Amino acid sequence: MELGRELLIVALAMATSTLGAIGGLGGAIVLVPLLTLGGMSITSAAPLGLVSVIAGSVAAGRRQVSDGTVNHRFAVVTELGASSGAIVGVLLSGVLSERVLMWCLAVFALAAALLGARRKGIRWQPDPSLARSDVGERKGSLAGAYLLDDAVVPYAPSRMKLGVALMAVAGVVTGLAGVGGGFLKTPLSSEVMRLPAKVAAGTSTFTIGLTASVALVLMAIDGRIVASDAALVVLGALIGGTLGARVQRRLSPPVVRRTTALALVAIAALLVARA
Amino acid sequence: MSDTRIDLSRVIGFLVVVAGLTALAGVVVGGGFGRVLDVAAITALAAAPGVRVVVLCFTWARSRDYKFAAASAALVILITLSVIGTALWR
Repeated sequence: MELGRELLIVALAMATSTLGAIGGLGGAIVLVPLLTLGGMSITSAAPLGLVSVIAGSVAAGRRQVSDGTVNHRFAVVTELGASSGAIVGVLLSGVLSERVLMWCLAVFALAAALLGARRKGIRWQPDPSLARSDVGERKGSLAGAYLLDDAVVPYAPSRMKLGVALMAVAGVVTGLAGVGGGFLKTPLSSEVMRLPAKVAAGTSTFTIGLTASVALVLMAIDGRIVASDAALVVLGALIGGTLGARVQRRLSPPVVRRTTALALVAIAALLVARA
Repeated sequence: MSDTRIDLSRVIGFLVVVAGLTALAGVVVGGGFGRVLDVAAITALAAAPGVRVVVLCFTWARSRDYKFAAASAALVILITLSVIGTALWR
Protein backbone atom coordinates (compact mmCIF):
# COMPACT_ATOMS: atom_id res chain seq x y z
CA MET A 1 0.00 0.00 0.00
CA GLU A 2 2.78 2.40 1.06
CA LEU A 3 4.92 1.40 -1.95
CA GLY A 4 1.94 1.95 -4.24
CA ARG A 5 1.41 5.45 -2.79
CA GLU A 6 5.11 6.28 -3.21
CA LEU A 7 5.20 5.05 -6.81
CA LEU A 8 2.04 7.04 -7.57
CA ILE A 9 3.63 10.27 -6.24
CA VAL A 10 6.78 9.64 -8.35
CA ALA A 11 4.67 8.89 -11.46
CA LEU A 12 2.43 11.95 -11.06
CA ALA A 13 5.44 14.25 -10.50
CA MET A 14 7.14 12.77 -13.56
CA ALA A 15 4.09 13.17 -15.82
CA THR A 16 3.28 16.75 -14.77
CA SER A 17 6.95 17.85 -14.94
CA THR A 18 7.28 16.40 -18.44
CA LEU A 19 4.28 18.42 -19.60
CA GLY A 20 5.51 21.45 -17.65
CA ALA A 21 8.94 21.40 -19.30
CA ILE A 22 7.48 21.07 -22.82
CA GLY A 23 5.21 24.10 -22.47
CA GLY A 24 7.05 26.09 -19.77
CA LEU A 25 3.96 25.86 -17.56
CA GLY A 26 5.53 24.36 -14.45
CA GLY A 27 3.02 21.63 -13.78
CA ALA A 28 2.16 22.32 -10.13
CA ILE A 29 -1.22 23.68 -11.20
CA VAL A 30 -1.99 20.13 -12.47
CA LEU A 31 -0.06 18.12 -9.85
CA VAL A 32 -1.61 19.76 -6.77
CA PRO A 33 -5.27 19.05 -7.74
CA LEU A 34 -4.30 15.45 -8.68
CA LEU A 35 -2.64 14.90 -5.28
CA THR A 36 -5.69 16.32 -3.49
CA LEU A 37 -7.94 14.00 -5.52
CA GLY A 38 -5.85 11.14 -4.09
CA GLY A 39 -6.75 12.22 -0.56
CA MET A 40 -3.83 14.52 0.30
CA SER A 41 -4.68 17.83 1.97
CA ILE A 42 -4.05 21.04 0.00
CA THR A 43 -1.68 22.18 2.81
CA SER A 44 0.54 19.14 2.17
CA ALA A 45 0.11 19.09 -1.62
CA ALA A 46 1.01 22.75 -2.29
CA PRO A 47 4.68 22.47 -1.17
CA LEU A 48 5.04 19.25 -3.20
CA GLY A 49 3.79 21.18 -6.24
CA LEU A 50 6.52 23.78 -5.68
CA VAL A 51 9.19 21.08 -5.27
CA SER A 52 8.08 19.52 -8.58
CA VAL A 53 8.31 22.90 -10.36
CA ILE A 54 11.83 23.56 -9.02
CA ALA A 55 13.15 20.05 -9.74
CA GLY A 56 11.54 20.01 -13.20
CA SER A 57 12.93 23.48 -13.93
CA VAL A 58 16.49 22.55 -12.92
CA ALA A 59 16.40 19.21 -14.77
CA ALA A 60 15.06 20.76 -17.99
CA GLY A 61 17.59 23.60 -17.67
CA ARG A 62 20.59 21.46 -18.61
CA ARG A 63 19.23 20.58 -22.07
CA GLN A 64 17.52 23.95 -22.62
CA VAL A 65 20.67 25.94 -21.82
CA SER A 66 22.78 23.90 -24.24
CA ASP A 67 20.11 24.26 -26.98
CA GLY A 68 19.92 28.03 -26.42
CA THR A 69 16.21 27.86 -25.55
CA VAL A 70 16.71 29.83 -22.32
CA ASN A 71 17.28 33.58 -22.68
CA HIS A 72 18.57 34.58 -19.24
CA ARG A 73 18.68 38.32 -20.02
CA PHE A 74 15.03 38.26 -21.12
CA ALA A 75 14.19 36.18 -18.02
CA VAL A 76 15.82 38.66 -15.62
CA VAL A 77 14.17 41.72 -17.20
CA THR A 78 10.66 40.24 -17.33
CA GLU A 79 11.01 38.63 -13.89
CA LEU A 80 11.72 42.07 -12.40
CA GLY A 81 8.22 43.08 -13.57
CA ALA A 82 6.57 39.81 -12.56
CA SER A 83 8.20 39.70 -9.10
CA SER A 84 7.32 43.35 -8.39
CA GLY A 85 3.73 42.58 -9.39
CA ALA A 86 3.69 39.42 -7.25
CA ILE A 87 4.80 41.41 -4.17
CA VAL A 88 1.96 43.90 -4.77
CA GLY A 89 -0.41 40.93 -5.22
CA VAL A 90 0.68 39.33 -1.94
CA LEU A 91 0.24 42.67 -0.12
CA LEU A 92 -3.26 43.01 -1.63
CA SER A 93 -4.25 39.38 -0.90
CA GLY A 94 -7.79 39.19 0.41
CA VAL A 95 -9.03 42.07 -1.75
CA LEU A 96 -10.69 39.64 -4.18
CA SER A 97 -12.46 36.42 -3.22
CA GLU A 98 -10.77 33.13 -4.20
CA ARG A 99 -13.71 32.34 -6.49
CA VAL A 100 -13.28 35.59 -8.46
CA LEU A 101 -9.50 35.01 -8.67
CA MET A 102 -9.91 31.48 -10.00
CA TRP A 103 -12.30 32.76 -12.66
CA CYS A 104 -9.85 35.56 -13.59
CA LEU A 105 -7.00 33.03 -13.95
CA ALA A 106 -9.22 30.70 -16.00
CA VAL A 107 -10.14 33.55 -18.38
CA PHE A 108 -6.44 34.53 -18.71
CA ALA A 109 -5.48 30.90 -19.42
CA LEU A 110 -8.19 30.55 -22.09
CA ALA A 111 -7.22 33.86 -23.71
CA ALA A 112 -3.57 32.74 -23.77
CA ALA A 113 -4.59 29.39 -25.30
CA LEU A 114 -6.55 31.16 -28.04
CA LEU A 115 -3.66 33.51 -28.83
CA GLY A 116 -1.25 30.60 -29.19
CA ALA A 117 -3.58 28.29 -31.09
CA ARG A 118 -4.81 30.77 -33.70
CA ARG A 119 -1.30 31.66 -34.96
CA LYS A 120 -0.08 29.63 -37.94
CA GLY A 121 3.44 28.75 -39.11
CA ILE A 122 6.83 29.69 -37.66
CA ARG A 123 7.61 33.34 -36.91
CA TRP A 124 11.41 33.06 -36.76
CA GLN A 125 13.06 31.20 -39.63
CA PRO A 126 16.45 29.40 -39.58
CA ASP A 127 19.41 31.39 -40.93
CA PRO A 128 21.79 29.15 -42.96
CA SER A 129 24.63 31.66 -42.53
CA LEU A 130 24.70 31.02 -38.76
CA ALA A 131 26.75 28.21 -37.19
CA ARG A 132 26.16 26.16 -34.04
CA SER A 133 28.61 28.42 -32.21
CA ASP A 134 26.12 31.30 -32.74
CA VAL A 135 23.54 29.60 -30.49
CA GLY A 136 22.91 31.56 -27.28
CA GLU A 137 22.32 35.13 -26.14
CA ARG A 138 23.69 38.35 -27.62
CA LYS A 139 25.78 40.34 -25.14
CA GLY A 140 24.15 43.66 -24.22
CA SER A 141 20.76 42.88 -25.82
CA LEU A 142 17.74 40.61 -25.50
CA ALA A 143 18.29 39.00 -28.91
CA GLY A 144 19.71 35.53 -29.41
CA ALA A 145 19.66 32.36 -31.48
CA TYR A 146 18.50 28.82 -30.69
CA LEU A 147 18.92 25.37 -32.16
CA LEU A 148 15.95 24.00 -34.16
CA ASP A 149 16.75 20.49 -35.43
CA ASP A 150 20.23 21.14 -36.86
CA ALA A 151 19.53 24.73 -37.97
CA VAL A 152 20.24 27.93 -36.04
CA VAL A 153 17.31 30.34 -35.64
CA PRO A 154 18.01 33.98 -34.73
CA TYR A 155 15.35 36.03 -32.91
CA ALA A 156 14.86 39.42 -31.27
CA PRO A 157 11.96 40.03 -28.86
CA SER A 158 9.90 43.19 -29.31
CA ARG A 159 7.17 45.21 -27.49
CA MET A 160 9.15 44.81 -24.26
CA LYS A 161 7.53 47.75 -22.43
CA LEU A 162 4.05 46.36 -23.02
CA GLY A 163 5.23 42.84 -22.22
CA VAL A 164 6.92 43.75 -18.93
CA ALA A 165 3.83 45.79 -17.92
CA LEU A 166 1.62 42.77 -18.65
CA MET A 167 4.09 40.54 -16.74
CA ALA A 168 3.63 42.86 -13.76
CA VAL A 169 -0.17 42.53 -14.07
CA ALA A 170 0.22 38.74 -14.30
CA GLY A 171 2.46 38.95 -11.22
CA VAL A 172 -0.23 40.83 -9.28
CA VAL A 173 -2.84 38.20 -10.19
CA THR A 174 -0.56 35.26 -9.38
CA GLY A 175 0.52 36.94 -6.13
CA LEU A 176 -3.14 37.40 -5.19
CA ALA A 177 -3.98 33.78 -6.06
CA GLY A 178 -0.78 32.20 -4.72
CA VAL A 179 0.10 30.37 -7.95
CA GLY A 180 3.38 30.36 -9.92
CA GLY A 181 1.98 31.78 -13.14
CA GLY A 182 4.03 29.87 -15.72
CA PHE A 183 0.81 29.42 -17.71
CA LEU A 184 0.64 33.23 -18.07
CA LYS A 185 4.37 33.94 -18.54
CA THR A 186 4.90 31.57 -21.48
CA PRO A 187 2.09 32.95 -23.69
CA LEU A 188 2.98 36.57 -22.79
CA SER A 189 6.60 35.95 -23.83
CA SER A 190 5.60 34.15 -27.01
CA GLU A 191 2.56 36.10 -28.23
CA VAL A 192 3.15 39.62 -26.86
CA MET A 193 6.96 39.91 -26.82
CA ARG A 194 7.32 37.59 -29.84
CA LEU A 195 9.89 35.21 -28.41
CA PRO A 196 10.04 31.88 -30.31
CA ALA A 197 7.66 29.33 -28.70
CA LYS A 198 10.50 27.04 -27.59
CA VAL A 199 12.56 29.90 -26.13
CA ALA A 200 9.44 31.26 -24.36
CA ALA A 201 8.84 27.81 -22.83
CA GLY A 202 12.50 27.32 -21.84
CA THR A 203 12.83 30.81 -20.37
CA SER A 204 9.55 30.47 -18.48
CA THR A 205 10.69 27.09 -17.10
CA PHE A 206 13.70 28.90 -15.59
CA THR A 207 11.72 31.84 -14.11
CA ILE A 208 8.98 29.69 -12.56
CA GLY A 209 11.70 27.66 -10.85
CA LEU A 210 12.94 30.91 -9.32
CA THR A 211 9.46 31.97 -8.19
CA ALA A 212 8.72 28.50 -6.79
CA SER A 213 11.99 28.41 -4.81
CA VAL A 214 11.07 31.69 -3.08
CA ALA A 215 7.61 30.34 -2.20
CA LEU A 216 9.14 27.05 -0.98
CA VAL A 217 11.47 28.89 1.40
CA LEU A 218 8.43 30.61 2.93
CA MET A 219 6.60 27.27 3.27
CA ALA A 220 9.71 25.74 4.87
CA ILE A 221 9.68 28.57 7.44
CA ASP A 222 6.07 27.57 8.19
CA GLY A 223 7.18 23.91 8.55
CA ARG A 224 4.81 22.70 5.84
CA ILE A 225 7.20 20.43 3.91
CA VAL A 226 7.09 16.63 4.41
CA ALA A 227 10.66 15.73 3.39
CA SER A 228 9.99 12.06 2.57
CA ASP A 229 7.16 12.92 0.13
CA ALA A 230 9.17 15.83 -1.30
CA ALA A 231 12.10 13.48 -2.05
CA LEU A 232 9.74 11.26 -4.07
CA VAL A 233 8.56 14.31 -6.00
CA VAL A 234 12.21 15.31 -6.61
CA LEU A 235 12.90 11.89 -8.16
CA GLY A 236 9.84 12.02 -10.43
CA ALA A 237 10.27 15.67 -11.42
CA LEU A 238 14.01 15.31 -12.21
CA ILE A 239 13.18 12.49 -14.62
CA GLY A 240 10.13 14.36 -15.97
CA GLY A 241 11.99 17.64 -16.49
CA THR A 242 14.83 15.87 -18.35
CA LEU A 243 12.32 13.94 -20.46
CA GLY A 244 10.23 17.05 -21.19
CA ALA A 245 13.24 19.02 -22.42
CA ARG A 246 14.24 16.11 -24.70
CA VAL A 247 10.70 15.79 -26.08
CA GLN A 248 10.45 19.56 -26.61
CA ARG A 249 13.68 19.46 -28.64
CA ARG A 250 12.06 17.01 -31.11
CA LEU A 251 8.79 18.92 -31.50
CA SER A 252 8.27 21.67 -34.05
CA PRO A 253 7.41 25.17 -32.71
CA PRO A 254 3.74 24.94 -33.90
CA VAL A 255 3.35 21.60 -32.05
CA VAL A 256 4.85 23.15 -28.90
CA ARG A 257 2.37 26.05 -29.23
CA ARG A 258 -0.61 23.72 -29.72
CA THR A 259 0.47 21.44 -26.86
CA THR A 260 0.76 24.51 -24.62
CA ALA A 261 -2.68 25.74 -25.79
CA LEU A 262 -4.25 22.35 -24.99
CA ALA A 263 -2.62 22.30 -21.55
CA LEU A 264 -3.89 25.87 -20.94
CA VAL A 265 -7.46 24.80 -21.75
CA ALA A 266 -7.10 21.90 -19.28
CA ILE A 267 -5.72 24.31 -16.67
CA ALA A 268 -8.65 26.70 -17.24
CA ALA A 269 -11.07 23.79 -16.70
CA LEU A 270 -9.25 22.84 -13.47
CA LEU A 271 -9.41 26.44 -12.24
CA VAL A 272 -13.14 26.69 -12.99
CA ALA A 273 -13.67 23.39 -11.13
CA ARG A 274 -11.78 24.81 -8.12
CA ALA A 275 -13.83 28.03 -8.28
CA MET B 1 28.38 34.19 -28.60
CA SER B 2 27.07 32.84 -25.32
CA ASP B 3 29.06 33.79 -22.26
CA THR B 4 27.30 31.43 -19.86
CA ARG B 5 25.94 28.51 -21.89
CA ILE B 6 28.63 25.83 -21.50
CA ASP B 7 29.47 26.40 -17.85
CA LEU B 8 25.83 26.64 -16.74
CA SER B 9 24.84 23.51 -18.63
CA ARG B 10 27.61 21.50 -16.96
CA VAL B 11 26.89 22.88 -13.49
CA ILE B 12 23.16 22.19 -13.84
CA GLY B 13 23.84 18.66 -15.12
CA PHE B 14 26.09 17.95 -12.12
CA LEU B 15 23.47 19.32 -9.72
CA VAL B 16 20.69 17.19 -11.26
CA VAL B 17 22.73 13.98 -10.87
CA VAL B 18 23.83 14.77 -7.29
CA ALA B 19 20.33 15.85 -6.16
CA GLY B 20 18.71 12.83 -7.84
CA LEU B 21 21.14 10.34 -6.26
CA THR B 22 20.82 12.02 -2.84
CA ALA B 23 16.99 11.92 -3.00
CA LEU B 24 17.08 8.28 -4.14
CA ALA B 25 19.45 7.36 -1.29
CA GLY B 26 17.14 9.17 1.15
CA VAL B 27 14.11 7.21 -0.06
CA VAL B 28 15.97 3.85 0.05
CA VAL B 29 17.71 4.38 3.43
CA GLY B 30 14.70 5.93 5.22
CA GLY B 31 14.69 6.79 8.93
CA GLY B 32 16.58 9.72 10.44
CA PHE B 33 19.56 9.59 8.06
CA GLY B 34 17.23 9.22 5.09
CA ARG B 35 15.44 12.38 6.17
CA VAL B 36 18.76 14.25 6.30
CA LEU B 37 19.48 13.14 2.74
CA ASP B 38 15.95 14.14 1.62
CA VAL B 39 16.37 17.63 3.10
CA ALA B 40 19.84 17.98 1.51
CA ALA B 41 18.46 17.14 -1.96
CA ILE B 42 15.52 19.55 -1.59
CA THR B 43 17.75 22.35 -0.24
CA ALA B 44 20.26 21.97 -3.10
CA LEU B 45 17.48 22.14 -5.69
CA ALA B 46 15.66 25.04 -3.99
CA ALA B 47 18.88 27.09 -3.90
CA ALA B 48 19.73 26.37 -7.55
CA PRO B 49 17.58 29.01 -9.34
CA GLY B 50 18.73 31.82 -7.02
CA VAL B 51 22.37 30.76 -7.30
CA ARG B 52 21.94 30.72 -11.10
CA VAL B 53 20.88 34.40 -11.07
CA VAL B 54 23.83 35.33 -8.82
CA VAL B 55 26.23 33.47 -11.15
CA LEU B 56 24.69 35.30 -14.14
CA CYS B 57 25.14 38.64 -12.35
CA PHE B 58 28.88 38.01 -11.82
CA THR B 59 29.36 36.56 -15.33
CA TRP B 60 27.72 39.56 -16.98
CA ALA B 61 29.60 42.04 -14.80
CA ARG B 62 32.89 40.29 -15.70
CA SER B 63 32.06 40.53 -19.41
CA ARG B 64 31.20 44.25 -18.97
CA ASP B 65 27.52 43.70 -19.72
CA TYR B 66 26.70 46.11 -16.89
CA LYS B 67 23.06 46.81 -17.84
CA PHE B 68 22.03 43.19 -17.38
CA ALA B 69 24.39 42.66 -14.44
CA ALA B 70 22.55 45.52 -12.69
CA ALA B 71 19.16 44.04 -13.65
CA SER B 72 20.08 40.63 -12.19
CA ALA B 73 21.47 42.27 -9.03
CA ALA B 74 18.19 44.20 -8.70
CA LEU B 75 16.25 40.93 -9.07
CA VAL B 76 18.33 39.20 -6.37
CA ILE B 77 17.79 42.17 -4.01
CA LEU B 78 14.04 42.27 -4.79
CA ILE B 79 13.64 38.53 -4.13
CA THR B 80 15.74 38.63 -0.94
CA LEU B 81 13.76 41.58 0.44
CA SER B 82 10.44 39.97 -0.48
CA VAL B 83 11.39 36.73 1.34
CA ILE B 84 12.56 38.61 4.44
CA GLY B 85 9.56 40.97 4.34
CA THR B 86 7.01 38.18 3.91
CA ALA B 87 8.65 36.05 6.63
CA LEU B 88 8.55 38.98 9.09
CA TRP B 89 5.05 40.07 8.03
CA ARG B 90 3.67 36.58 8.79
